[in-house]
Amino acid sequence: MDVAALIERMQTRADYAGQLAHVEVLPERQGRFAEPRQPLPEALRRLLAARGIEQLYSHQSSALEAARAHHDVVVTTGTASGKTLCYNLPILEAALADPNARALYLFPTKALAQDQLKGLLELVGGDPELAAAIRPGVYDGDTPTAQRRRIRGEANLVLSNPDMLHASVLPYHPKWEALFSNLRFIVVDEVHTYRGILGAHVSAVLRRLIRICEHYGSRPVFLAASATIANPGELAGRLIGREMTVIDDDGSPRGCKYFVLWNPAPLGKDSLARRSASDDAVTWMIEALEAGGQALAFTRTRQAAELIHRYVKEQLAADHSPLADKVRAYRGGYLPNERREIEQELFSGKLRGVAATNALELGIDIGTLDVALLVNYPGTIASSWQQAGRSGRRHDESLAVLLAGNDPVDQYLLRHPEYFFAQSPEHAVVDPNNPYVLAKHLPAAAFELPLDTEQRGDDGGNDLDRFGSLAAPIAGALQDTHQLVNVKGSYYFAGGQNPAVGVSLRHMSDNTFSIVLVKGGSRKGGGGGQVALPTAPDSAGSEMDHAVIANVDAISAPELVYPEAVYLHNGETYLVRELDLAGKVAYVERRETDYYTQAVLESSVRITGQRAESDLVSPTMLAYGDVDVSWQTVAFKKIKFATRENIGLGPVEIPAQNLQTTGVWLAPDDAVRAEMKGAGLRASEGVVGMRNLAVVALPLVAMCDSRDLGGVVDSKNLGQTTMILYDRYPGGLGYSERGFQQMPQLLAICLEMVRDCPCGDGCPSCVGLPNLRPAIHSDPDLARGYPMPNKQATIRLLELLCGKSSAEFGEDSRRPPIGVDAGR
Amino acid sequence: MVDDILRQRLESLNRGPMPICTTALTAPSGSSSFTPPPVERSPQIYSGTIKAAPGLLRSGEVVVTDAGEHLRIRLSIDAIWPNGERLVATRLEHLQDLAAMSEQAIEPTVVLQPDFAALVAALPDRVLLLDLETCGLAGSAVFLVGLLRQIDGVPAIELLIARNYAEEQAILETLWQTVAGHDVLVTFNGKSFDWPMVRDRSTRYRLAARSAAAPMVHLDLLHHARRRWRKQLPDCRLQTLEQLVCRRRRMGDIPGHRIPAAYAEFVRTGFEREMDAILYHNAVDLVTLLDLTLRLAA
Repeated sequence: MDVAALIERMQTRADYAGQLAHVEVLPERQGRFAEPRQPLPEALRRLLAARGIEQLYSHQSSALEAARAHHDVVVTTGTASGKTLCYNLPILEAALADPNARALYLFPTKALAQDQLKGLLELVGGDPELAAAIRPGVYDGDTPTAQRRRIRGEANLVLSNPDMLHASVLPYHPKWEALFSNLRFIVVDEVHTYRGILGAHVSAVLRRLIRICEHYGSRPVFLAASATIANPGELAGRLIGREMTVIDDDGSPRGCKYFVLWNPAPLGKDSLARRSASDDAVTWMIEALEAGGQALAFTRTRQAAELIHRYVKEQLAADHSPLADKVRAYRGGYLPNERREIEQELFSGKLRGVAATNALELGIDIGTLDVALLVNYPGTIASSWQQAGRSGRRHDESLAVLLAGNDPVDQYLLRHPEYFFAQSPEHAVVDPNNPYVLAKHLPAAAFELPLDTEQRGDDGGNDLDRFGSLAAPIAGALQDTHQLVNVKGSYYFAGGQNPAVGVSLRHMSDNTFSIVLVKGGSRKGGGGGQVALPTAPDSAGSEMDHAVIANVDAISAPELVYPEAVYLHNGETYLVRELDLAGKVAYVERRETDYYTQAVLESSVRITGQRAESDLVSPTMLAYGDVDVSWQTVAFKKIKFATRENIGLGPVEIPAQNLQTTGVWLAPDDAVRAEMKGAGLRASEGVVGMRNLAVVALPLVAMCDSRDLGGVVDSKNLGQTTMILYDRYPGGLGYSERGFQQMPQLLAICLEMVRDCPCGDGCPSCVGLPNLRPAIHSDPDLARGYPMPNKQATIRLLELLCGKSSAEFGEDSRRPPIGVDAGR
Repeated sequence: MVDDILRQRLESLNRGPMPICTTALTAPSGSSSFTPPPVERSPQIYSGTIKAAPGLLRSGEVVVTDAGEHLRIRLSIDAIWPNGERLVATRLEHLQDLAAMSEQAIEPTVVLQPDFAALVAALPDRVLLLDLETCGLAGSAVFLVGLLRQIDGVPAIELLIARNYAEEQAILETLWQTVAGHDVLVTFNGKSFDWPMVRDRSTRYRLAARSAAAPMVHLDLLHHARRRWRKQLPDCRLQTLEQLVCRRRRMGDIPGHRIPAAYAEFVRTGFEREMDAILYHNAVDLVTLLDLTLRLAA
């Protein structure tokens, strides 16, 4: 499509008022090709030719050669550069040459495994020779029991996920003897998602996997693929525990790409608030579709995706456009079949526009589109490029638009486009030596095979050493707590229950609620705005009247499907009649409403027990201990579509959810506050800025990801402004504990970050919260913005805190916590 | 959740060196040379004086295999089932008479099912009864292989015992050697539990070559018992059959669900009393299995 014409069209609209802030043109790139040294087998060449592939891109050829030479590789070329072939070619080649050869594919989500299964079946389906040799099978939590035995025995390409490997495959490895004895390749796709908590767990799972492979005499080669991040080789290397060959020289051609930064118009003459980015995205989407393009809008929340879809559809229908039936919404929670259908119709070009959450950001194959609309800054540079990469034709022009929201971060990027385009994507950090994580995986490893401490391998290390230098003392501690037993130099698991079952690899439980549509509507009908809620939904009729239409994770169910909520699905409105917390079901009925609802959430962090106190930043209060984080939907607002008028408020009575974890807290003492007051600065503003910096800086000290941490500023707990940082994992994983031990270093990093930042009054790189996480089920246009904290107050506060601690700085920050406080 | 003692130990280990940090800060000295504290032994849990009567376990002898040592106990049936040996002999005779009759009869009045035909043909020398005790469900370790077979012309109980987790491979090794001389394997629910367990654990120790060479008929009595008694009995658990069909009661038995924990205690503390109870439990199971085999075959 003609992108320049579309941009021009946007600027000639009656409502144009200078929203176009910047256009960056990324020039066209020619394709580069390379022949593999040894030609591919005839069957594979036939298959590629049938798909119009005459030559391999240079990076595909490099990946093939590396895999053939038994080098572990990580491929990190752009979206739609043919990354999948990079790992599929060597695997298909091996499977054709040796009928016994096996491969294991690990994807971070079940949806991706299904997508790849479909792709593999299509790839080999038309060719009887290949179809006989390539037998892929998905093995995950959804695989019916009846099929499991067959997949274990017969599939030579097993597609699964780390969670399944951890809880259901490795512990029962004798049943998988055929796989592990003949395993030649392990694919780790979307490796950039394995950072922080998930990464630490997955690194332990992969070590367990390598150990089992060795036991059965195989030494598989790892083929990893990653989205663009700053350090793919380092991340994959630490995760897998091997040196990786990085393949990042993208040989695929790319048409010219326009990147537009768009700032919605101010609402009033002197108003700082601007029109909603979602509203402008609706306009952009309609213009793009009418110009003949295929467009995707990425939103930060599920509700925003539903709303954009609804408004686009309504407006197109009002114009009697045939395009009205060719737009959809796509987000987490849709059932697999519905998602597959949308993906396929997007791929075939039948669907022209989709409003999606980042559920479409990962590598699901939907082809490439003409236009990607980023509705509000996605929070990270890496995500921005990942989403923008969804548009980008091989030869034709494409367009990405970042529509800024009201957040200071978005506005900063619009004022400083050079910052956005020059910024390197984020580092991904993974810590394979986290003792808390290892303490959960060593029992699992010992259950699988005894952990030997005597026999030395070629590298001089023993079996236990593959889990790092902390493994030996942790195993000792586990023995003392009777989880492991040492017999003749080997640790055995001292129980009969598979210990992996109770260990989740992710932040929280992955329980889901079903959203069930009760057909036939309500018997009474709503009179006078009152909703008749039936007492027992199953009394409404036979099972035929009930159908599951969607899922929602247990954590956010109370935000989305509380009684009387309007649940938006594919642009249509459903009224929630009942939320059954015990049965994990929400019953909804189809009801046309002219409003949607917004949950009013209350959250709190309560310090429940102090485990240790420290004078490292003396006399400022610094402590570490147990905290209880809870959140609850207490009410809901009714919001009129289009106008966003608040037309009513109702109470919600559902119990709070909570997370018991560990945290570190710091409260500047009176002297610091007085000194700041003297300088005309407010300590509380400084604490907010410090919190925003600390959430970014703590990962550097604790080797986790910002997403693994929570941080609040609160004065209820201690009666004065306090910064509380906590681990987002039940029981904690030692991140805030390290922040406690290394607080002086942490504060010094914060001070350096804010002092060295060249901005004037604060920016997302320093005091601004760079990765604000809105509730995923809310409309971001209804949330109030967060002001940029005062930079000077932040600097002064940090100077005062660092100054106080500089005397002891670096002297003995490793000493054990002082004054362990067992009680309250 | 991490329990408190473990948490304190982990806290002492959670001292990462300053990792990737672009700012040049002095790392705390010695942060990377952490030495683990000496391992403290937990005090003996049982300080009271529970008499560990010299029991079954003490009567065991050590067997040496290619895969290490384990303990073996042999018991006559009479030790568990008074007069059992004589009863078994009588029933065997009866069975063989029946088999002979059905062969001679032109219109056979009794038709043996194929499995039972194989059983009767193999009795008594080439039939092996098996019952395992394990640390838990699938994936966990086997610590006791209970066998009942003909030894020196009389049926006898043979218990192969792993005195700790390291001896599991040895008992499996001895099991495979024993299996080699038999044609029919008899179990109770062994098709779903005991035998897959033996196979999986053997695969785990790479004993697969042996397990492949075992062309045995496997007779799982659970299915036959269900067919015969489902209508008369509340359920068809082994102990129900023992009480209501065989009309025997156990004294001082350990409930099955407590066995894994009792074995874990035994490995950790060497405390024998409950272990003796487990051995007794397994031996009684085997005797009941024999009793049921003969009843069902007749």
